[in-house]
Amino acid sequence: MQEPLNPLPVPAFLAGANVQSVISIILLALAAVWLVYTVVSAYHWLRYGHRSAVAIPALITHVAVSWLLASYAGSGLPL
Amino acid sequence: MEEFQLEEGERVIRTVRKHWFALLLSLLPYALLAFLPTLLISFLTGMAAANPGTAPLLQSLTPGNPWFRLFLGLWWLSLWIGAFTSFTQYYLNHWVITTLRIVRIRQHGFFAREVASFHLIRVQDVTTEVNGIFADLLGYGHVRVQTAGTASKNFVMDGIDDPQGMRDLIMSEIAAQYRDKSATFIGMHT
Repeated sequence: MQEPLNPLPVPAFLAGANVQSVISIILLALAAVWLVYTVVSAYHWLRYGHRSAVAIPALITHVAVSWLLASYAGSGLPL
Repeated sequence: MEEFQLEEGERVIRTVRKHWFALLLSLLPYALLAFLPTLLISFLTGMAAANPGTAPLLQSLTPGNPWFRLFLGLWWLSLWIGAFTSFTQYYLNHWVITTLRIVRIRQHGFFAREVASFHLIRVQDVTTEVNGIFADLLGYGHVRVQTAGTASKNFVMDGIDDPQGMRDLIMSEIAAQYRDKSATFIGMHT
């Protein structure tokens, strides 16, 4: 006879955690990683791009597309 | 130039990057991976037909579900960052041909750059290679420059547009250097 499956026990440190605050912290961490990446990327474009006309449009495109995707990802979240 | 200083009388003739097709090839995996969630849903739908118990779970895997949108948005954002990094590397990797030398600037990653320069006067041989149907149709290929010295080095400009034109340019600049040297030498002895 098959025994019913029991849900996995929640770790003690997460038992009292609010799901919304956990998600907020994760999203903030991801935003921080993105920000560091963008700053490093901008540094390289502006320093080694040889004052190219491509540098600023490329960075604007990066920020705009990232903003669009982040807005899509965050739309409707119960935060 | 941030990476090197031009010498007196030296001027930049051309800056060369890899052919756009090389950029396209490096971006292709990201475009394919962007469709992966769609394929995954199709796969799961096929599985649901065999197991009706999973139907409620699959019904939640639509853009109407905010958690699904979160996953999809973050997936696409990470792919976008990867693609933008590829583009940055493509753009920052380049060769500069000046009247005196060839400078190779390589961006291995963020904060890892390599700048090498070869004086044209030391160039012994310039070879071009065009391999493959796409290379032939689109006109890109490799230029191999062999330099003289105790340890001869091969300097390869890979995947550049119009390799034959680049070889001719390098050869004409070398010829100009030799002409200048001869003129100076004759001038010193008259």
